[in-house]
Amino acid sequence: MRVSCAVAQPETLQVVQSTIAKQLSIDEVTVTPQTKFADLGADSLDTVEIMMALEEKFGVSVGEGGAENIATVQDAADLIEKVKTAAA
Amino acid sequence: MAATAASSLQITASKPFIFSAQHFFKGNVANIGMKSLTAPWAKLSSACHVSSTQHFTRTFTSSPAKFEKAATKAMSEPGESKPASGLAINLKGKRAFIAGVADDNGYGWAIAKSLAAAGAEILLGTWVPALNIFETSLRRGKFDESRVLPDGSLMEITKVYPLDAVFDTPEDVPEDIKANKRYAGSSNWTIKEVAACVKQDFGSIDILVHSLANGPEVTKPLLETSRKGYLAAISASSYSYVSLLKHFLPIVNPGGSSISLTYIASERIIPGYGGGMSSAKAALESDTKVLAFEAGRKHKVRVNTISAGPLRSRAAKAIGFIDMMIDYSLENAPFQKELSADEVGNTAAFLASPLASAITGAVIYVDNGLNAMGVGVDSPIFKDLNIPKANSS
Repeated sequence: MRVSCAVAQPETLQVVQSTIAKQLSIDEVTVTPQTKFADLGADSLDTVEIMMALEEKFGVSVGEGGAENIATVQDAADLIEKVKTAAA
Repeated sequence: MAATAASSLQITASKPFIFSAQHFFKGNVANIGMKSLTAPWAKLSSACHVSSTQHFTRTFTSSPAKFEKAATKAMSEPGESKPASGLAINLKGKRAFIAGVADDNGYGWAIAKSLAAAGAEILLGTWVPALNIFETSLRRGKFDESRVLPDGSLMEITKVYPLDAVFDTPEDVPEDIKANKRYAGSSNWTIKEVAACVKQDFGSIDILVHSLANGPEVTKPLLETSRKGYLAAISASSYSYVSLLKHFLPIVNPGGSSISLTYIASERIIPGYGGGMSSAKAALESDTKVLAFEAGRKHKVRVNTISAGPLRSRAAKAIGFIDMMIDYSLENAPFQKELSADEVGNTAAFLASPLASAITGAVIYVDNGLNAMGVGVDSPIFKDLNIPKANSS
């Protein structure tokens, strides 16, 4: 049983990276796991939209306040992994 | 006649139709630090006093208080079995435009729900940058639990218009905003254009609601507020209402009603409500009186403002001290309960209805009575006064 600090699977991370790149209309190579949303030029509305796009992509729902602690691409991927695991 | 109406209303109020669905805060739109505040404060949990039955219609003439008994068949809905007594708010056949709804946890949303529960058709004006998130959430059913009306049906939103109430006409929009990716995908979102679109789509409205504000320097004390920040607060939070009414008034039917949301920081010192936002609310309340005169004489439209107590809305959380203000109200207001957005929504429904046909130019407090207090009774100074408390002791 996975604990709450799930680390994203490589394929999850890959899909998260491509979704973020698409959402922000930027080159996927600039979206590394350590990249901060702010460094990609994403404002808070972008972050919400990215999380919504990820929810749609993975068919999951990130709960209340879920997106509030997201700073990096890895954070987003880990959160998705966590809710995926919880839903499974 | 007026006395009869008043006492009937109290009877109705003492036997409210209580609806107690839980509203779950949707975190998805939570932390976006939006500029278009959906009025101060929020938390939805509901006690909706708008009965789903209608017993009276009111012909809107200038004659005082003439009620017509409505034909039952015109009012009854499938599954309705309310007793035919009391005085209900009936907004059937009325159309409302609510400016400043960008999620399901502010006053704008609650007002839309109460108006819908009373039978009004709902049009929304949503801040352009938030439009995509709002519509996506709506489409994907994220608001469905919050859309439940007292009769169990879901609030229908007939149309959502993109709106940025800081701009009156397309000529006012600077190039950088036009080019901004969040605006580029939308069109016709200045106040004048939205009014024209609503006119084109629907011809007229009956109810106009202004539930938006922005103070970019709200966290700064007034003494540290820049001219730019101050004027931005006034522009987005006060003039936006003057402009909205100016452009919509020609399509508001006589007998219609216009409502805005204000806050007691306009007239009393509320540390933390800075950046010229207190000034903006003072302007809004003063404008309410002047606009009540002008709109009343020109179009027979009533203009009122609701001074609402603290609510844990997304916009209020952006200001930052909302929990403190809710706690303060719990300790010090005559009613020691947390304010529900529906209580503001229901007041708006009343003000929009013919039942309020003589109320215009008014500031209506919906704040558990906090505005009436002269002292904070939680001060240790008063510890020997044995002041009654709702919960403890």
